[in-house]
Amino acid sequence: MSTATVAHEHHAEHPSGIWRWITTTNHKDIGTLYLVFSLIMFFIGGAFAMLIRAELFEPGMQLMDPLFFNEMTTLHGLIMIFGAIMPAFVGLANWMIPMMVGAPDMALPRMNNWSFWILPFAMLLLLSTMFMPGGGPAGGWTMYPPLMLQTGVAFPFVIFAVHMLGISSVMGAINVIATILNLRAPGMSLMKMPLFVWSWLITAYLLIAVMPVLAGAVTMMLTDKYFGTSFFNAAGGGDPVLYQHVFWFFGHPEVYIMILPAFGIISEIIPTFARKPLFGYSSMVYAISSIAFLSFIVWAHHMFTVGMPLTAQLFFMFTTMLIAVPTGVKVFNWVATMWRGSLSFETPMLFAIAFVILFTIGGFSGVMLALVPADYQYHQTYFVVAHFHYVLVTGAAFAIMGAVYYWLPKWTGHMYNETLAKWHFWLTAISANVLYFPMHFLGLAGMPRRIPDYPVQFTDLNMLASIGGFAFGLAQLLFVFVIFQCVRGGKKAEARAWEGAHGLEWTLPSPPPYHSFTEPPAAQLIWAHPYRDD
Amino acid sequence: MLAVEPDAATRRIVIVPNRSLSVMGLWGFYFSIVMVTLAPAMWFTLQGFWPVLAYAVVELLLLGLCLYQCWRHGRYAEVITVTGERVIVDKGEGRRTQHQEFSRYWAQLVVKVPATRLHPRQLFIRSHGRECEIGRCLTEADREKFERRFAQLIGPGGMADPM
Repeated sequence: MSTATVAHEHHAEHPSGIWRWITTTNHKDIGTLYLVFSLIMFFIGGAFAMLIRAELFEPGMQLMDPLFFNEMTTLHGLIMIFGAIMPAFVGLANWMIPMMVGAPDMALPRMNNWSFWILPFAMLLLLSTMFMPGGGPAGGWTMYPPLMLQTGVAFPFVIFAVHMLGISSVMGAINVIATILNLRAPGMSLMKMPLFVWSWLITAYLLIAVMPVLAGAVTMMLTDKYFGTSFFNAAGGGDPVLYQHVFWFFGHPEVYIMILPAFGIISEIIPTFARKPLFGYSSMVYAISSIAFLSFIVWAHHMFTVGMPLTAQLFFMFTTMLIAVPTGVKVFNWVATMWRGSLSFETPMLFAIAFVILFTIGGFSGVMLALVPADYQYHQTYFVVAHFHYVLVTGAAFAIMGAVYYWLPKWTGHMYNETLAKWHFWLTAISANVLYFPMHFLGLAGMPRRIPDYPVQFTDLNMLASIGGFAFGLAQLLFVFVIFQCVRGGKKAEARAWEGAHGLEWTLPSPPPYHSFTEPPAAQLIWAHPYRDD
Repeated sequence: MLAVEPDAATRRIVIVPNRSLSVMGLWGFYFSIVMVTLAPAMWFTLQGFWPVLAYAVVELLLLGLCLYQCWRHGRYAEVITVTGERVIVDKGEGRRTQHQEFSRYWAQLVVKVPATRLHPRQLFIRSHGRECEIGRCLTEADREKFERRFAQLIGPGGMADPM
């Protein structure tokens, strides 16, 4: 018997060039594809937002007709939610979850490939509707009938695109669940998992639970239009308000689907740069679970003004306000983690701190909107726009940017340019507040949302918001430059790129090998998991 | 994961992938997600919105199928039996689907090193132009450990060596 070592040419088996990216089943490749795709969509959706802000720069109709304005608001929402934020989180999950749980790859790699490649076609289909007779969808991202039914030829294509996006999300969620449950390293029990993994497990659970509701809602609208059913058609005995109930039963958990992974990211970043274990790991897990549970019983707070019974209004008001409790637990734990820590303020930490402060502002305005009498005043105004942009931009998007800076050295093997990154942070943070904060006052003063023109008394704050919007957009070009520069080269990153970083992903070299875990995850490392403070 | 079963006449190495989910855990999880998904779907169906239920059922079947696939792959095992004359490799998921025998004297353990560090090394047992990949589900360190143990086992006097 003998042992021989021979060089083996892998390139013969693994395609290179564009074919590699089309056929890849590797979690890192697919993670990269998701992240690049979401960045492109962020810019397309952002370009639509620029058009909206350009039109709203001053009163009167300047650049576009009202229908096109409504198309822009609708597509901006759909693209940012389904094209930018969600794929970015799925990309981060793809890259990080296998490395964090000590798995060689995702549990279902082929399905992982399909779930990504559905996305670009779905988005192309959605964008192509703008060029169809009658224009693209203009009924808002919520697609309420009967307004949405006025869409021209594009209507069935929009519904099909939404179905494709939903299928992609569901497949991604199934993969995440299978990976986390089945491929954890020996010794990594559920309560020893990193918070990012926990947050994604709960997010995937939510996705599975609510996606059929969206699919059903849009299908019923389709059959109402083309097959003579009357689910939401009052003339046939249906009720359009019931669409709102069905939609928001999906829609509110969807909001949490877009923020829970952000909680996980922040719970990774803050302990690293505070050089302390996360305060209250268990309570963080229970808080995320509580928020997920509550997300199923708050949906009607989006529709207080449709004429619900008083008891229903009270129920949804109280359940909505209840969400502030687990959210408060999380904010308290993040602050407590920083308390007396050896803080340093690298760019990921700056984004994390900005997240904690600005997301809390979004949370406060959410509590204001939860109050039924106050909501009667705020409903359908710019106050709502300010609220959800504080949650989704300074919340979700800031967490994604922080995550990119945090894990970029791991992904690329190079440190990014810290000075430029800090410039990106400050420009982004300042411009986001210039953009969104005035919207609170516009809403309180009564400016309705989704209008291309407005009374002159709203001019100054709209101008300010538009200037903030353009600055925000420009700042993101710097983000792309920093990423590009880091991918191309830079100071070599250590395996543990950040001094205070813990977790299995930091035991791998930077960049990690194509197939993770050239070293087995050591049980001691898991048992001495830094996320536990007990 | 490696397990060696010592025996006077034969030596057997069992290689199985790491799986963190038990069958009970899998059923528990699936049951909970079925409940959470079907409860609102049933409620919507009672309100007349039956398409929600149809989508929920399709989605849950897909989830069930995927979890079943994971569980099935989790039963993958490579059993390498070394007797006085033969090296026998059995592979399968739950039941044996592949069986190969090599002469112990001529058997050669081949380590294929990838051209780039993007890929893991591969182990093959080779003899007389036939080869069989083993240790596909091992980590690199376990693979090295296996390499040493296997060489020791099938080398001269290997059967007498303590594992």
